[in-house]
Amino acid sequence: MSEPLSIQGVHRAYRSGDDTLHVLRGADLVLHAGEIVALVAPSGTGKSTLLHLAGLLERPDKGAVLVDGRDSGQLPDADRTAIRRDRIGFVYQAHHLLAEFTAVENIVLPQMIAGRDRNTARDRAMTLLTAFGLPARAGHLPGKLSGGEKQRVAIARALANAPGVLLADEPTGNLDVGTSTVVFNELLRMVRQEGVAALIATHNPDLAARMDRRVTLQDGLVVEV
Amino acid sequence: MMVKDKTRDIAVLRTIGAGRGAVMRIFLMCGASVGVTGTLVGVVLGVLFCLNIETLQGWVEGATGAKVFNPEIYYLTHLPAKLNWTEVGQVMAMALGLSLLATLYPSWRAARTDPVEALRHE
Repeated sequence: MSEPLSIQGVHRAYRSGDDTLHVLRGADLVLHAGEIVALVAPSGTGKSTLLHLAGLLERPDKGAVLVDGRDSGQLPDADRTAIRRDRIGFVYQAHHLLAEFTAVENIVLPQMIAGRDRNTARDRAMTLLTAFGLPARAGHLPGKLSGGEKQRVAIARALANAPGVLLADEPTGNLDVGTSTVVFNELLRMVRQEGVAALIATHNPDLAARMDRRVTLQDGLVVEV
Repeated sequence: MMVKDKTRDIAVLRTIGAGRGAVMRIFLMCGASVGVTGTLVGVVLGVLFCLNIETLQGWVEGATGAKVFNPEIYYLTHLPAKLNWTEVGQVMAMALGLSLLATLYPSWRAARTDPVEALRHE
């Protein structure tokens, strides 16, 4: 069976005027099914770039990104979007919930984009909200939720389409220490419960220590810690 | 303006799997609904204005105490207003067409939003 995510010899550089910044220089990373990997690296080393490449939001200059064994590099944008919709979930440092939509609607939305009918999508959204202890907040707009609640809803949205891969960029970085620990516990519990392979960028060594494996970025390469 | 305000939301939609076509359709629908609403409101107000122009003239003259169209100057005993439904239809079609045209470029730009760039500075 193919791995949910395989990054093979990926290069990525950015041009700024006459300068070229080589962020990734042949990075390799395999995420096995159900595995939670911590990406621990200082700012500016390419964490976000690696996550964006893994999430098919950017294309590598060289190398390949395989999702479920399928090389995404040569696929047209529509196919990459479909893979992202069906197989990849994102959680950002900021919750990025749609302000005009309630908590449950934010979780229903990606499912409806994927073609699920409204009732099925709503049932799944309520199941996730219940798992995060937020069924009573289903009808609340993001503006009425606390920081921790917003981030829980964002995680639930990322899991809504039962992805094979969850990518998280400092998912609790905007929360206070206490809330961060609680939300992180729930994130890990839900990721394990759903059997998702997860790549989670974090600066927090304590949180990283609780994951199955830790990697970092050194000179544009992924290195086991 | 709406596209600029909603850049972050567009990026989020793209991230959770909405295609470029879907984003473009959302903004075309938004633009079209604003255009249709504006056109309908404009037509209703315009027709009412045309049908009641003398009453309205009376109100204005009563409120200001001045003649809107002094017959000694304009040689008009009343304001002529003729409602031509063909012209109303043509104006409606033109307004709807122009409003739809005006949404095309912003919708195309919305569809071209790069989610990475849009979320990088959030």
